[in-house]
Amino acid sequence: MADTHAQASRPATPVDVSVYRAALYLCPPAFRREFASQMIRDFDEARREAAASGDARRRLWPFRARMTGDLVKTAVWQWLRTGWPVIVALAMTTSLAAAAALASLWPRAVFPLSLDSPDADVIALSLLVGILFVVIALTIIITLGFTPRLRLHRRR
Amino acid sequence: MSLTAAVVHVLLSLGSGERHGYGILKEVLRQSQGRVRLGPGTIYGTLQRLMELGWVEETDGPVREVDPRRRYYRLTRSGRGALTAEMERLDALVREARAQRLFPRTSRG
Repeated sequence: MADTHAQASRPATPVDVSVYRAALYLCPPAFRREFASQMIRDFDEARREAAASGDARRRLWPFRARMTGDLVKTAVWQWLRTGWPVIVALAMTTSLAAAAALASLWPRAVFPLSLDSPDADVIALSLLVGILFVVIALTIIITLGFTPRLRLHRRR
Repeated sequence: MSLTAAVVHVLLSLGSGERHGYGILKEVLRQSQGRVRLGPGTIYGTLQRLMELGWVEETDGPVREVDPRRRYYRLTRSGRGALTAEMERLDALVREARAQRLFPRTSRG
């Protein structure tokens, strides 16, 4: 009962703060664990200050725009710092190159199709889907292969 | 090595003592006469980098005004050295600009 009263008297969390808290999930987990609670607190204080100074509605929109820009910049920078985008890009490039090399080595005699063949489109589509799966599989394998090295690098 | 504007502002805001993140935000606003408004992401991202460099460290906070929910930060000896070096670099630049009469006449100093 007392808990219910306490909950009822507790001020509701403003929508802005809830949105900011959810948006923080864009940042890498390690950064979030370290600083999210402080960032939410600072955001809330800055929001209250912006709302208190004059016309709240008019003042809050520039504040929201500024905070969105700050959060997007932080998320991009923090993800780049983790090294993951570089690893995934490297893995995708390697797998695409491997798929292209395989395609060029493929014995053409296996599919002696002419462009007029009625099944040519279906076979071409099947090959494309096959290559796509190969690229995805290689990307995952190469990324997983790099992961232990990344962890080792971070520990140093 | 020249430092980014955010790094210089955060280091300078900690020059006069330990502060929490929001305290840094307010101090940067005051020092820049309202022109520089750093967001929480920029402040904590910068603090993270500075702690990795060993220029800033976390503290228990000043005895009188400790808010247990807050985390306080202060400059280390090497952080103060880096800030001093950067201020000397900027000072030399400003002196050069004055020598070339690039400042308006109303400029102080």
